[in-house]
Amino acid sequence: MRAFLIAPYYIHWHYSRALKGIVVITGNLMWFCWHFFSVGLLLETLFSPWQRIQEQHKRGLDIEGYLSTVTVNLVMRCVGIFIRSIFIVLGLASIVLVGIGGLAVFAMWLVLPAAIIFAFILGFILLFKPL
Amino acid sequence: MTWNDVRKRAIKEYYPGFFLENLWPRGRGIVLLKSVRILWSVLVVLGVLVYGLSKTSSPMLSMYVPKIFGAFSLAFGFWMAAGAIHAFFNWYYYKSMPAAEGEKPVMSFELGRILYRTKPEDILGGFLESDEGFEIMMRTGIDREDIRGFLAHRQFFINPDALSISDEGYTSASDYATSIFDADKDFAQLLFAYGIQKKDFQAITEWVFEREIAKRAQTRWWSRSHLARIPGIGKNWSYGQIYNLEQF
Repeated sequence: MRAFLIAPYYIHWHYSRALKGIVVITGNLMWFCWHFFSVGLLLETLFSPWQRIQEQHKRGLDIEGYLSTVTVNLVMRCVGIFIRSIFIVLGLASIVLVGIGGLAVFAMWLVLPAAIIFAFILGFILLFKPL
Repeated sequence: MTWNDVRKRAIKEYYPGFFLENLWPRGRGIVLLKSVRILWSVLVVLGVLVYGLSKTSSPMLSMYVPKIFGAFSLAFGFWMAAGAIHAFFNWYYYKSMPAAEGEKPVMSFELGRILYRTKPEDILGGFLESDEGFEIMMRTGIDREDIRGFLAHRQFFINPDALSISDEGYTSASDYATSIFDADKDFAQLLFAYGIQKKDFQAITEWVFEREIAKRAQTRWWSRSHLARIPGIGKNWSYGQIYNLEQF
């Protein structure tokens, strides 16, 4: 019987603080995707050599050496751009997915009490209906 | 503030959380949720399987399909209801965590729970018989039998109206423990007999409660501070790998 005493607390929480909580948690998870995929950092360093692997050109006139250095550095930058781009896209996609998921949870949360009642009624009807 | 005022504040802040925890402890709630989730997952798989078989090889099985989906619907409904109640409890359970959605706590959930469960006529007993109180007394090194004997043969009981607890917006567990220590001379004597001074008792209380709060923080995986501890994958790719330093 005392359980009914907390029903008003629950209803108030369900349609106020819980909704705010869903927004906050979704925001945290979106922030995490940005942080985990290091989207900001990868964008800033998009054109940097992969893992800073690069050759230094030796002094003096050595065209072969110079071209070799330029080629290695160019390849490392291209590898960097390619791999970083993939992870930037993955990061942005995961942020969008988490955002959509958060919106879906928000919408489902709004109808949750009705869904619970519906599930119980449907369950009883299906379970106890004569064969 | 008197003990009664602080208790009222705790109840005002956390009442639904305390009520639900007394009804069904959090750990058991998690186990129940997992079990029901397994049950409805099995039922939905079974339902689809039986439905598939009834359409292909065994038409007689078709009469069981509504029964299985009925059981699934009940289990799923129960799971949703239990999940919502669990989330409701969690909201109170994590309410006192620092930076928890901008809420300013008045005391930790653990201290509030002690106050909620303590009877006004036995404040010291309520504190020492709580999980945290028990842990504190274990840390002091006082023999369990001595504590039991002390609690059983006490002559003095703290008057809740006379117990003054410092109030600066937030009541800490060590404030509460210190007030009890100051108010109950017999208890202070028991601690002195084991070489425990007031500051030691305060420090032990703080340590025990901080450990409880840290444990709780670990389970709050969705908080920004918890998520921030997972390192990003792009750092090494942009700045190079620190092989030597990573060995330490």
